[in-house]
Amino acid sequence: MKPKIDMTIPKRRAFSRLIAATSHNMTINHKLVMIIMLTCVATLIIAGGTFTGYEWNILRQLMVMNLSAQAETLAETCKAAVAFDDAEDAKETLSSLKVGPSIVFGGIYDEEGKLISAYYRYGSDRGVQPNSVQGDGYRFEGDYLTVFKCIILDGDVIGTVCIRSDLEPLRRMLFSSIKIILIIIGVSLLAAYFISSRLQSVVSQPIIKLTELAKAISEGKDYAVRGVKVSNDEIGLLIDAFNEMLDEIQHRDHALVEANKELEAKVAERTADLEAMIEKLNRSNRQLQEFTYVASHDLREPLRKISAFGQLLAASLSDKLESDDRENLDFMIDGANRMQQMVEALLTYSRITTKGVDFETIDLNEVVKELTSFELAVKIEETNAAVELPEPLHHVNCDATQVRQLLQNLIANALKYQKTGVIPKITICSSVQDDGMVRVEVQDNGIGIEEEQYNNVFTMFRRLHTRQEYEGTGIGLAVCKKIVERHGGDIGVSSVYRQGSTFWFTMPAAQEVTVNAASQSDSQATL
Amino acid sequence: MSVKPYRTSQLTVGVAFVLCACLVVAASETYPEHEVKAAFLYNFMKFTDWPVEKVPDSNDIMTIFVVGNYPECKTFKDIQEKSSESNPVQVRIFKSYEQIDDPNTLKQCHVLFICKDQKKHVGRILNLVKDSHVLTAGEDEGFLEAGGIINFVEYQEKLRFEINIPAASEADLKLRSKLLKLAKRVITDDTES
Amino acid sequence: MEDTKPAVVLLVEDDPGDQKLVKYALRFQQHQSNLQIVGTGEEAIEYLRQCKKGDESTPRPDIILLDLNMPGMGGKKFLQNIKADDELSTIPVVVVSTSDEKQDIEESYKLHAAGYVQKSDNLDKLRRIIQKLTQYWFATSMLVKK
Repeated sequence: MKPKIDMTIPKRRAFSRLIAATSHNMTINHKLVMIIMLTCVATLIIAGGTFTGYEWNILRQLMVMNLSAQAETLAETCKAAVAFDDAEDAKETLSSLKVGPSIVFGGIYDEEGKLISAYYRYGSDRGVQPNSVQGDGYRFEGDYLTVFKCIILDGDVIGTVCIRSDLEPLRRMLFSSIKIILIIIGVSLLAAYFISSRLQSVVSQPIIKLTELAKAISEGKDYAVRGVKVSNDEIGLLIDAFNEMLDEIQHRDHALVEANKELEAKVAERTADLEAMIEKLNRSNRQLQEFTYVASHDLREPLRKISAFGQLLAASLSDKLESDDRENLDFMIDGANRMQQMVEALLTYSRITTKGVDFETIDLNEVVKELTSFELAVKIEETNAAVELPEPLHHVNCDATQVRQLLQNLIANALKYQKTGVIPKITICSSVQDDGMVRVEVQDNGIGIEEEQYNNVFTMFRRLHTRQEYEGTGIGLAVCKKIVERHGGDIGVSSVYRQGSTFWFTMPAAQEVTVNAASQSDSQATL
Repeated sequence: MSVKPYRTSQLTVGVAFVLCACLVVAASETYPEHEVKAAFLYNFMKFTDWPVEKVPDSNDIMTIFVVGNYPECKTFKDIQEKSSESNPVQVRIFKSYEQIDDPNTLKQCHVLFICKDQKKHVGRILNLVKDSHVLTAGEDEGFLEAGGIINFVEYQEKLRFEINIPAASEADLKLRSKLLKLAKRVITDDTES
Repeated sequence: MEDTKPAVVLLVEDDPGDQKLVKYALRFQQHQSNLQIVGTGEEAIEYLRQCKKGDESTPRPDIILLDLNMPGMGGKKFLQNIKADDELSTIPVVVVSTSDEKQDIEESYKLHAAGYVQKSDNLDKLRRIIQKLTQYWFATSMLVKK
């Protein structure tokens, strides 16, 4: 069995939604007029309805009165006829009812309720007779008003008169009344419409103006505009409040702009200060570097003299001097030599930044090949060393001279710091990191470095061994570190003491390198 | 015929039955015609105005004397019972005029009904109550001519009455027009209708 | 070329220490050299002018060893001048300088220096260089003879 669908609630909802929808998008004008019109319609309908109801009541009462009067007259007139049971006379009396056009039945009953005589408007219709007879009174039954009046003769009820009328006159009067009321309502509504249309502008006009103002301001962003107050009511207050708000906005705007300007000025000031400071720092840095350069450069000359003439003296006085003196002289010369080396080192070190050139793409494989062929050729041959590149090294973006110096130092160290009798084996490899840097590793089978010394080896003039064990100035790795740092990279070492070390550094990769590496890692991922 | 004795017994039973019925009827005391007349008498009172000296107060007891002896007359007694407390009515029935001790007592009543069996006394009674403001009613032909005021007549099988207006005015009684209207025959001063 | 006649070496050097060193280095050469020393560029110009005149006391150098770092007319100016002179431009000039700056080396060659040597503290090294120098120039090259 299909479940019954309750349609009442949705209908109600739909109705209220309809009302909401229509009124939602209405302008204030229309809303006001609609409100007024609805109120008028409602009040007029209520008034009209009430009046009509009242009139209906009155009409009924009148009809009852009228009919009752007639019945009374009739009762009086037919008293004798009833008393003396004269049906004919009674009928004659009843004939007076013919006058009333709406009277359909008139009857005279004796005290037992038996019909003595009757009058029928439409003679043949006996159906209009009332069902029951009552005493004094009336009743509205269906389409008829039935009025009863007792016939009293000297205080005794001898019979009852009954008159029955149809409600036609009542209805006619009511309809004409309703017609008139409707016409009046119609005219009133028209008037109401015209008046309300005109008068609603008193309320709606200022609101509309304010709305336009607000829209203009929000579109044009001009907060200097103000609303004009025309009335002293809530709308006037609204306009005042609105204007105050605009004032406030303007002030704040202003204040904001001012604050902004101040802030910018302050920022500019600070930036200027900072820039000045940076400039100063740069300048002092440059000065320092220049100083280092100049100093070391100029220090070289006298040192050279000391060393050279020391040697001369040593050469010419060697057989003339006591061993002790000879030793003293040797120490002096040695000192001068070392100092010279150190100054050279300082010079080199300072040159890294002062004499640095722009970066370019360098093939490290070429660099290693050249180093092994020229600068390091002798040493490699002497020690029978092997420098291996298991795979080609990646290209880097760097200063050619400096990267050469870097690799030279590292490889030279690897060759130098060896146990006697061990054939040096050096392996160099590289890899590309995610951050676009190439990591190069130089691995050797040398004497290794203890973990505590990892950081120390990169410090200027810091040596882990005596000059008797291994010669050196202690600047090689410091220079490497400076070079690497200039390129924005990093340097470090990991080692197994007495077995070997791996020195690594990072440098910016050349452009194609990163692309190739990326595609490589991609292809590796898909595999 | 072998049935003959049977029929005879049947007949006897039938006759006896009818006789009994008549007796029963006769034994009951309902005389519809006189009931109506009684009612009419009662009503005549209501449509008549007596002079003040006869009826000083409208609530005074009204008296109806009936003179007559046939059993129907007894029904007039019912009027007394039917009368209301506000309009009390007393009814006295005199069997015959000869039997009235003091004929003047007849003057005391308001309504006097002379039954048909008193026909021979009609004149005398009417004369007697002439100046006593008594509404005289009869049921005999010629009652009005004799001087009576209202006379019952039968008209189209219905009980009606006729009125003698001069007689009424002589008795200083005013009869309401409604009553007059219903009378079958009204004798006025100038015409006999 | 026969190494009978000593080669004339003109050393243009202001520092007395360096002068001595060169003198010392030349002493132990296979080929004997006649070392002439002037202290400044101006003096060198003057000496060479005398040479042109054919003054015996100022023999025409077979090779000029030039220091760049001199007061007054510097080494570079001198080199410029001498190479501008028709007669003197044929004399090979080897720059002997403390500087190993690329700039100095480039400029020197641009000014038609025949060689560039860095002054060294190492005496042996100095001697070897001078040896090679003199060997080369005296042994392999024909020098213009007046």
